[in-house]
Amino acid sequence: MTTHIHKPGDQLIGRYEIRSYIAEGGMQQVYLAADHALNRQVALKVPKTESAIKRFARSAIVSAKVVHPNVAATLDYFEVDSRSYLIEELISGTPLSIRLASEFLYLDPHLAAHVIHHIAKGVAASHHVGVFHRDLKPSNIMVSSDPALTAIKITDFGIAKMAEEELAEAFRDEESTTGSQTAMGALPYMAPEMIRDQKSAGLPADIWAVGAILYQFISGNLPFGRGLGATPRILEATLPPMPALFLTSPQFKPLTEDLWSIVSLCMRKEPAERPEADQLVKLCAKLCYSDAVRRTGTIATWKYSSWGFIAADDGEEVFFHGENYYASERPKLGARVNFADFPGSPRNRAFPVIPLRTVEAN
Amino acid sequence: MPMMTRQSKRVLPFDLPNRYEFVGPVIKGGQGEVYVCSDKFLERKVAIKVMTELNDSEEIRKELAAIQSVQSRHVARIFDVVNSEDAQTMGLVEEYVPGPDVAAYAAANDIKDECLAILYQIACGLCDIHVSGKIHRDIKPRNIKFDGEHIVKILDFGLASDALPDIETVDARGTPCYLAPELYGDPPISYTAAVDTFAFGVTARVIAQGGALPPAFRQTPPYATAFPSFGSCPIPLPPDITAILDRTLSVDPGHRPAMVEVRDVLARRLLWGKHRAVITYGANHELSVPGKSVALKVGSDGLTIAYDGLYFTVNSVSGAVYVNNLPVITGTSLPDSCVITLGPPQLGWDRAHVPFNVSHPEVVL
Repeated sequence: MTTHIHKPGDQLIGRYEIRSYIAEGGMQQVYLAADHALNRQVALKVPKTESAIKRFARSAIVSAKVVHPNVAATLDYFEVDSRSYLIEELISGTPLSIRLASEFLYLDPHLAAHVIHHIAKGVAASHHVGVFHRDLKPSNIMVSSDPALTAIKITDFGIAKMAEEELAEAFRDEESTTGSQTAMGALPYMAPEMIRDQKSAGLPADIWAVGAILYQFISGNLPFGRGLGATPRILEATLPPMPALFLTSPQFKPLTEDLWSIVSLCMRKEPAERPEADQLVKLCAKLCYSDAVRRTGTIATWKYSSWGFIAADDGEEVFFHGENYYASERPKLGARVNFADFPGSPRNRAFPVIPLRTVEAN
Repeated sequence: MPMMTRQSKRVLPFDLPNRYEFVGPVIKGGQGEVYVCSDKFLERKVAIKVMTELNDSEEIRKELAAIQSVQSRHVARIFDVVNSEDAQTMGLVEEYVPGPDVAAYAAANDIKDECLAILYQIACGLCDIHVSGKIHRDIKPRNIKFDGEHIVKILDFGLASDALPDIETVDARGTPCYLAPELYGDPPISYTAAVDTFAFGVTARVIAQGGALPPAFRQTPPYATAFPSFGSCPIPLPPDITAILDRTLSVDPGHRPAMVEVRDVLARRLLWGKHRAVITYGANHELSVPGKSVALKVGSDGLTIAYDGLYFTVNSVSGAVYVNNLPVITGTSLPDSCVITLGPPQLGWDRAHVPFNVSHPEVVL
């Protein structure tokens, strides 16, 4: 059971007031707080253990160095008694990990290109100031709540350094089947050199993580699976096969090929052979994709194995062609979908369309 | 460290909390002074803005409210407010934007390939400000600086006001040359967000001119000579850009384009020649080179699509051709995703349906 360090109404340094508990990461708890000095809402982060104060201060200083629209802004840092606090901009959105687990089976190449482009920009901004994230993974990436994932911000820079010992522990004890929560969350995105020797890994490990995240977007699977069983496969670093989805529709082919080449470059076993963040940004800036506004809806009609209609959640009916439906299986009536649409007659025309996870009835 | 406290006392109008240490310089602004300080907690530089006139906290509060109401990646963040011990003077602790400002940058660098991207960023920031219902009222190169990641930040909201239908001013404050002509009238003067559009136009001229304003822009109204067209800038600008920038300097505020229109024209131009149309008929055919065209024909029904670097336009049509079920007319630009159908409806299943999808790089700052 999680013990909350603070309860709503708690006041800190005469400026911040705890409003509600948001979430917990491996090392810290996150709260929504009111900033009375500036009359705004902020995210307040506090380490779970009091002993972490020095390292937490370090991580605050590190994250404050990175200033970019694709990185959560560090607003304040202070210490009270034996605890330290980091104030970050409050991002209206959700961790990408939650969207992937509850909504998206995978991302179509257009959406994947958009998200990875923004992640690459944020990573490049951090590498420009010499900041190594060390723990890039979907739970450290906040996305806006819209279906097009318009806004993307990386968070928790420098926090991973605090978790180093915990991670080292997990890998020393290979018999451990449970592992720590932190280690198990980080492992699927961890570069081989990170597993071999935490201390000697550097910026290229972030690039590997970007590649692993992109692989997950386009395939719906982690490149080497999860759990400690993934460790030998990561160490070997033989790229998993190209997702079967890539072959479904010729219209997606030019973009899927470009994305696959980025995955292959980022996940090179040899860190020195991976692109640097700026090179990665250049590759992303060349990608041709559609960043149109998106909506969600339900498949209402599917005819002649060829075309159908989507009942958009706002009530509009939208036409879609099977070739624009990016999936390995045929559309199912009633299936939830995410799509962009363009002017058409008598109905708008959707492109692209991807199936979403079935919403569990509560 | 006591020495530092003494130093800050000498330079600053009031003692700062220990957390901040004056490192300099002091930047004089129109409505106050900015002290560059070090935040010892986060080991970073911050800009602390204090009003030159003491007891002017009300002004600072207005400025703070204006900045906080704008959601934009092109506006510097606020971290803190500091008060003098007697609570009479207030300072705003903001993100330190190292610069250079856009005029200095344009003067020191060859910006031929970058000019439109800079103007686009400024236009995005102004759009965000206007969408939030604010008018900046002091747009000029000095208030527009690059941050460490080369992202444009619009600074100094000291004159910002709400964009209300009946907003008036009795004193047309701002900076000559950048002041829209309507602000030179007899007070009270009513004005709109178009004053920012005018100031943007003059700022754009400074940038496209390589950092300095030509003499024709140093007049006050009524203008003896018209502003020279952007077509005469040393940095060559394409015709659509020249046209819309010329409109930003219209004497009649009603003739100036909204900043959202300026932003969108710049955005489209930034993607010139970078679109990729994938036409799937049997195999994929690609149309992505400006000046090239593609002809689709089945029997006597066909069309030609030409790419001019900005749009995919239907050049010629023969027979029965439909785009998304509507008969297509020569000269129309195709939507970014559509189906082209060749053949009349009576052909039924024998009609050819050709998916046409355009994608392009995303401009990510």
